[in-house]
Amino acid sequence: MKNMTIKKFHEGLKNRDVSAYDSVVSYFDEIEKHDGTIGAYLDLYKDEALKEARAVDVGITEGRGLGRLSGVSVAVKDNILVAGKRTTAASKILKDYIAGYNATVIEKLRAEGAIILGKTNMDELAMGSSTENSTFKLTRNPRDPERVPGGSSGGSAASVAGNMSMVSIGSDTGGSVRQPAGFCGAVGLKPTYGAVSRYGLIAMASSLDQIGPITKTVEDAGLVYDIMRGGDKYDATSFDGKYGDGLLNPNFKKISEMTVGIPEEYFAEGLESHVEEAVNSVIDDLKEKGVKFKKINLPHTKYALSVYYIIMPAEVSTNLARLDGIRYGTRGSSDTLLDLYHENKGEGFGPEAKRRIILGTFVLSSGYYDAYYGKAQKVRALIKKDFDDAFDSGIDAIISPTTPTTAFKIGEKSSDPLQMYLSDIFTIPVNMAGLPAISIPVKGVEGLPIGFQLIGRKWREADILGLGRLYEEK
Amino acid sequence: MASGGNLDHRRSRSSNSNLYHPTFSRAFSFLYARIVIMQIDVKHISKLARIELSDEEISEYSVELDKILDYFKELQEVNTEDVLPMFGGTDLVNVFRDDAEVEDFESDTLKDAFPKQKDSYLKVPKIFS
Repeated sequence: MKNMTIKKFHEGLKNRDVSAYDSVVSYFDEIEKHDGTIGAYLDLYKDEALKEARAVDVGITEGRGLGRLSGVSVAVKDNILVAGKRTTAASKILKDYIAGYNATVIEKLRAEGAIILGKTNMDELAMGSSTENSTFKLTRNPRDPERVPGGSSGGSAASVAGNMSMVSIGSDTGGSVRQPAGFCGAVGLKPTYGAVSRYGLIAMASSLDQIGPITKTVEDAGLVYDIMRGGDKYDATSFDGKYGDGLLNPNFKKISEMTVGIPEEYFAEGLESHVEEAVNSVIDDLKEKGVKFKKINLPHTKYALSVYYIIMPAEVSTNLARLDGIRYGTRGSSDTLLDLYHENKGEGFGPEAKRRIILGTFVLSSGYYDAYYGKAQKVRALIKKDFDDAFDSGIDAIISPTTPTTAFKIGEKSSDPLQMYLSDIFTIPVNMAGLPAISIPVKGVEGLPIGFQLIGRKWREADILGLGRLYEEK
Repeated sequence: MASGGNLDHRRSRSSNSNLYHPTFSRAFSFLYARIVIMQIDVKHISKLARIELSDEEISEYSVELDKILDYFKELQEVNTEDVLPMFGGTDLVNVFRDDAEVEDFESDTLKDAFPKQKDSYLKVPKIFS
């Protein structure tokens, strides 16, 4: 189970070596044994999952074909709507909210036979980098329970790394799939902006959010991505990426002839030395396989954090306006509408959510819009241009550490918001440019996991998946 | 531009478990060395955002957000003349659907989530006291 991948599992199903039912039972056994300590899950769907697994097994004996994810146990971050089920985004204001419809990704995963085990813990409303901002519970890193799993998709990463699901899905706005994957020793992919529909994802920052898979292997990440992606009439920013066979079946010969850029600005002072050494070992590994490397510059990197912490809270302040306890959510008892809004939001949101709403409202407010938000949008364009220029200079992908440090201890950064924000400095610029990126565990690391990140051109997930598999498999 | 070969991307330096990217350490010293001039009127903003904050929250957020705002000052040094702002994350424009009546939603499932309802109408408190 520790090394169970979708491919191995389906081979086992076809050969009748394993059954979907036994697979789901074994994940729930692990959950029962360990999730009391780890705390990855908020809700579990055991009865339904077992029923669905039975149905898969019956289908196999009756000779019906397998869906691409038949019997695969999936954990879903609790900001993704599953019809008829509680969806809370780990926030008090949605603690009893029952979703009225399925997110598009859920429809797609289910259509291929995936079995949802339950919903995973996260930082409230996706705001945080450690899952410590969850209103409901703490999630611990399965590799070291005194440390955070990362965030905001900490529960999803912990469920895969803790062998409590085969794959999971999360959302990534500034690194929230890649960073927890890196901290927990899993693979995490953030697709090109627009590749996966955001319909049914509780919105955080609409110009940055993407749903992505967290898996054990790069191959599995590619498979789950391929199923989730596609233009959706319910998400006007989504688009059908055109991929050939290369997405799932990389041409390793071509991949090994690629050139990868090393951005000087990402290897500056402040990177923990063992993280830097680990990424260098990846570079050495790929070099031996023929991949070329060259230094590049992304000159506006140092402004990315400021730009992100202006644009993201601004969009958050708008998106969270709908969480007012009127049409859905937790409602207080005030007499007038205005008082009710104040009460519902004051009571319903945690401190980080409030902080970001206030910051976002401020940067959009009259008199300050141009100095902050207007300026940030222009610098964002420059950050994107840095990437475009780098790719045009003759590279196929960019390599970096996923995070500057390994997983920090629970409570270590929670009292200083700015310190917490710094853990996303390598992941944030990618969302701003709308590019695809993947975090992959470095091989042979003893102790805490270290992830490296590959960033690709827009719509070039095939390149980063291919390079990832070249590293992982060959 | 080097390609492959002997890249000097390795630097020997002492292991530093504190996070001090050159820009960030500049910002932090900036922070402690000067009086913060910019102040967010958190109380006013909380009214705009319709969030009730306690006095404690107001003063706590004032301090934290002023620190963050101070950090943003570095953006002023970026030359953005003639730069078109980036609106949103996509290059798509004008995504339309046919101007035809479409009924593919069961509104009942949404009404089930109403915290207070009467005869399937959403109940809200009065607007004026």
